[in-house]
Amino acid sequence: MEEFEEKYSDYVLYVENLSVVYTLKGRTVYALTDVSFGIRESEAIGIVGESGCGKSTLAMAISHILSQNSRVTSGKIYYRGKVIVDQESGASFTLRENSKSRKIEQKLKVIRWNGISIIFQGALDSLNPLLRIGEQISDIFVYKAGMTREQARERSRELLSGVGLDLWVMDAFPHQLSGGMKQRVIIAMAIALRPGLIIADEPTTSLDVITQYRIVEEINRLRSAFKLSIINISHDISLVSHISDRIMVMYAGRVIEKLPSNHFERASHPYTHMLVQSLPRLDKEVSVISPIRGAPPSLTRVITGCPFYERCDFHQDRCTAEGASDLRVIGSGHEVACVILPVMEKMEKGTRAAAPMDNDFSSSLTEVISIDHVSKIFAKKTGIREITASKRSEIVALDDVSLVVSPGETVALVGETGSGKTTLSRIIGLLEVPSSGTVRIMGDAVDFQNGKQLKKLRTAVQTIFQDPFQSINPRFSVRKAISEPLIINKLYRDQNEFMETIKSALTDAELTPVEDYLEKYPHELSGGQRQRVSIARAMVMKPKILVADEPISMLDVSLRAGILNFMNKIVRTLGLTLFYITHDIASARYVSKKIYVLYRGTIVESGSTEDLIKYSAHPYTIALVLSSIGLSGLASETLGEKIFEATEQDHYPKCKFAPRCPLAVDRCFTEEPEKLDLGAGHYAKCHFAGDIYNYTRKIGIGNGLNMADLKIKVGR
Amino acid sequence: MYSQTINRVRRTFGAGKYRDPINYFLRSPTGLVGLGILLVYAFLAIFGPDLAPYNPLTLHLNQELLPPSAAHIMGTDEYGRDIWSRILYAIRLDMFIAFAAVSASYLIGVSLGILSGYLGRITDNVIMRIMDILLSFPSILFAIAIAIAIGPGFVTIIIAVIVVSIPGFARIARSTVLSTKNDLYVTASISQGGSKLHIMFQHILPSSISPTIVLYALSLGNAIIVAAGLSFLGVGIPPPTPELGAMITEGLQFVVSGQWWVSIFPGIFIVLIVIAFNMLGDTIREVTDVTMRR
Amino acid sequence: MNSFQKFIIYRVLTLIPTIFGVIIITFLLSRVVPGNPALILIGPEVNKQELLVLENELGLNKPLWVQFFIYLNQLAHFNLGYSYILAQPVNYEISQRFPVSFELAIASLVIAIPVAILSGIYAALRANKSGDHATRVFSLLGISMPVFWVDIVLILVFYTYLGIAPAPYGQISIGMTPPVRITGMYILDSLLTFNFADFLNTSWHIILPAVGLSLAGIATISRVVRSSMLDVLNRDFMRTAFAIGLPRKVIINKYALRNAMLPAITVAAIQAGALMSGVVLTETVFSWQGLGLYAVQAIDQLDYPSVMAVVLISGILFAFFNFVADLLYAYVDPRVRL
Repeated sequence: MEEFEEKYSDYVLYVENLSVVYTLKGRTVYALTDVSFGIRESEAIGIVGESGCGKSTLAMAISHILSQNSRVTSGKIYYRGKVIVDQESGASFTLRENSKSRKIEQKLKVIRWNGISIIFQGALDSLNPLLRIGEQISDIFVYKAGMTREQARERSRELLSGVGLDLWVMDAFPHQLSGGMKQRVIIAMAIALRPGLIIADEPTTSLDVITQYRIVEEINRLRSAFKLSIINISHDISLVSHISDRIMVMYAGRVIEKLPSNHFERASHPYTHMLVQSLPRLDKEVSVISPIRGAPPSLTRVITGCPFYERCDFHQDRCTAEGASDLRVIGSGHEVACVILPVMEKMEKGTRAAAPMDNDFSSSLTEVISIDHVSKIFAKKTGIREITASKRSEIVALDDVSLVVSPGETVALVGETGSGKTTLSRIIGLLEVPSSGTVRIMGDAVDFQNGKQLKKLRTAVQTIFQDPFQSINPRFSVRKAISEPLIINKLYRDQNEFMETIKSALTDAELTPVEDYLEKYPHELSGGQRQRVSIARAMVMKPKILVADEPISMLDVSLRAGILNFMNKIVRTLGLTLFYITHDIASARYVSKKIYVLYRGTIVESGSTEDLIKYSAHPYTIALVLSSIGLSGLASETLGEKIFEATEQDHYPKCKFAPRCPLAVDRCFTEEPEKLDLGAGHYAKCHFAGDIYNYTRKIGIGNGLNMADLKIKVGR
Repeated sequence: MYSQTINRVRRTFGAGKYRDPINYFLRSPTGLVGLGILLVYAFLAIFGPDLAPYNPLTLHLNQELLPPSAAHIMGTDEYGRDIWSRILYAIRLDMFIAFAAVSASYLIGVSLGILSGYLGRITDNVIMRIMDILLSFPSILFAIAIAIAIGPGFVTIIIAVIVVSIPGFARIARSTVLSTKNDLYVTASISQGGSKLHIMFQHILPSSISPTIVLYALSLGNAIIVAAGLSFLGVGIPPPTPELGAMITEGLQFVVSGQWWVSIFPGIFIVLIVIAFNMLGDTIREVTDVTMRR
Repeated sequence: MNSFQKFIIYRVLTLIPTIFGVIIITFLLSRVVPGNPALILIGPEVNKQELLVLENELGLNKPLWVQFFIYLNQLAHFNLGYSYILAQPVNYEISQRFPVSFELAIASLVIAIPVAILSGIYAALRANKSGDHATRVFSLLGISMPVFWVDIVLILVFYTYLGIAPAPYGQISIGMTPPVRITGMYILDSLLTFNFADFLNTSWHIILPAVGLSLAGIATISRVVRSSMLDVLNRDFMRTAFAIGLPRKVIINKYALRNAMLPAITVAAIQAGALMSGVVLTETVFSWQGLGLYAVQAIDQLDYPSVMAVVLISGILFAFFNFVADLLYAYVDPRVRL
């Protein structure tokens, strides 16, 4: 590993024809095949792909921390010209020592963290849960930079304030921090030794939209401050394009396209193009989102030719030939691994999903769901905890919420974690009892103690849950899962009708041929297929109201469009009323005509989707929309630092958003905002709603609307 | 009939990693060895005493402490009794004690655990407190206390084993009930009108079976050791009835003088069956570990 | 008051009811004895008058709950009862024998804990290779062999055949005088009184029983350490530690082991119970004059107060071990402190 390759010394990192395999229970998994690319100083490239495409393997190979069962079967990786990975030394790390591994580690010592550092999904498990933050960061300085504990602690403090964290974080444990804070700690750790290259593997997934935006801003700032090179890995192509100069798309372990990030709309590979087409977007008009059928190929056999062959609408015989998956240059900085390169306009087929609309619901009811001054308070665990009486002993999940849904309406509830949206969806789904207030379903006031009434109403309201893995009993076959409601509610007259109902439910869910799926178990299906089974199971009850609680947030990107389209289809054909809960405004726009924005248990704004998104009247909504758009690369916005503070409050101020609001004045803390009627069904609860609305109507979000400007215009 | 049962087993357990649990079981070395040993012991328990070459109780005072030979493959004890014959009778006794006691504690413990987990609140607190207190006593000492109260003997051992085994079953049953209760598919079932009874029988009970079966197998091994230990101390089966632990006691004084066979052989037979139960428990655990998380 | 201190208080509050429960159960057990204890104590040849006097003395004609309060009162004065068989207060024997058992238990822990942890780590690092398989076979054996049989095998091998172990008749060779009593633990006392002959002899004697006792514990705990190490090594923060290039020792100890130890602490607390049972059996085999042997002898002689006293002590000790284990766990893992 002594080698040095002059031609690559200009690159901070150069990956040359890298192929990596794993051995898993005797089978070989071809994780990476012939991957090549280079990164120069201060450059950021984004690697985009779905689960199983090999991007994480690539990240770990570059950082030389693959597991022992991996092997580099070809290629090399160079850091500033010096070989750090090759066939002989592999790319793995082991705690078991032998002379060979010792030698390799000795050589890598200088590169590790000083040269290359890596960020994992911090909100989950990237920090040692048993050590204080200060200690973990100091460890880097003590063991890699030879400092004393004291010096290390000093440097750690500087590092933390550099990413905008308060000093108390030094002595905190990871579980005491929010997801966003943990992620900032991870970032701080990654830049501690001023590396040349940072690999960011899904750095913002599982964070709230506004926090995601903040993190992304932080990474950009650090990049220019320290002239870092960055590899951004994500499944979210629009996010990645905002923070990278170039994008590399991976599929089934191969690189299938490379292009400049501001051109990603002009992606030429069928897969990339379809990926872009399948995302609901805020910055464009509502259009088709077309799903990609099928699933990525299994990596246990060598694939000759193009790996996307089976799922591609344009495949031809020559796509399976050897060399079909090589990259070809088709423009400046644009390479594609496709021999056909169909013209883009041809691709606009796919199911034209109509814009969301309300159904023609001829019914005597004027309202299907009515929530009247509903509140829900959860008691924190009590017991022998008189000692902890200082903490709040209750959590107010919903605070005096009222809303009305008419038959056939498509409604979305948008909010982040802690907004109470899940609680509200559970109350409507008859799964949670409100602490106060009245709930009316199909015109009847719900008596949550009345078992009989509940059972009757349950046939009218069905819920689809967020987690496709957990919502079906893993011991049930598909057939048994779908038959459960039939059996509970005796919805069939004889064996024939029983099987027919199940089969037609599966057909409607597009899980055909039906016989193939009947006896499958959940773990044998993809996330999207599982969600379809859940939906089929719910439809068997022939409900009038469908409550969908974040049905796509745990699915792979290419599967989401399919589920959204499917939902739209059944809502339209069956004339259902839809209540869709999400944190992602873009998908809400795709399925619903009316939106309620929820913050900490209060509805802060409501109105028709288009009006609310384009002309928001509440600072929180504006922040949400700007963050979502910002992440798509169109508005580079500073929302102000205040917004990002996630505060634990002991006493809620009158306007709950006030502590984070850039427009807040004293009045906001002491006086509860009224619900302002802005016309056409658009309401907002803010002292400044009127002014804000006027301003946004003039400018329009996405046209350079600016929090600073807003402040001035609203007279603050 | 056979294929029906196989399908039943497959449906209960087959949602795990392995589509065909029985196949996997038969192909794993620990499963096979454990099963093999168990079958041998089952055979000996049923037919052993008929195959014994000598009467286990008759004293032959001129044949004391004979080392293993063709006539006595495992030698004789201090009263001239053939050790191999005594072992054959002892196996039947010990196997019976183990299965009877553990089965009883399975029924009681699992029921308590399910009630505790399902009903929650006060019932849960009360039952778990009692379990905690039961677990506060090391098994042997607790058994000694029971022995003192009731007097040594067959009944004492069984009661002692039952009492020390119940908390384990209760705990495991309770924790599976609690975790299943909170699982999303139970919520889904409720939203579709599933009654408490329906959920109990369709969801909760089936998922509590596998972990408890694992514990059943492991408890059998534990039962044998506890029973042997009690008899070793003299609070179990009184002499002259052959019991593996008691036989070890009888040979204790002769170990220093080199007559090892009196204690060692019974011990080997304890070790083998306990290993078998442990292996079976481990294999069952591997087979039925449902991949609930990805 | 930091979170750990709050946790300690909370845990102490739950310890008290548990100990109370132990006392109640022990009391009930001792009163469930069939027959008339007074009769059993005196013997069949009895004078009605003497019987009544004894019954009165024992408080047997008072209602149950009154007897319970008398018992509680006794305990509050640290009086564990009076043994009619030995004609002396139980306290005396307990104080003599408790240090002996304690010494044996500590000796086996001193062996068991390091061996279990190191072999668990060893097996985890060599997962699925030959070193790992050997450890798993050893684990299986360790939990399947009754401790008294293991002791017999050890005696057979090391004393009868190899002659390197002492005769299994107690803590010290016959003919040698025990060291001056300070704590009651022979090894410690001989060290403290600079009695090196005694020190060597008693240490020599404790080896075999301590090893026998430690086997089951090593088997169980190393199993747990192995499996939790394997789990921990796959977690994200470990991969970060690898990528940083922290020194190997730091990665193993500060990052991996600390996290892996948590389940091991829980298991160790359970093993404490098995240890106490094991002590009883081991003392019987080696004629070790500790509490265990005392209890066994007491059963033979139908000395109920003595047996109950030992049972009570073991119950309280075990509750205490669990308490300590919980504290240790909370010390290592800040998340449980709430």
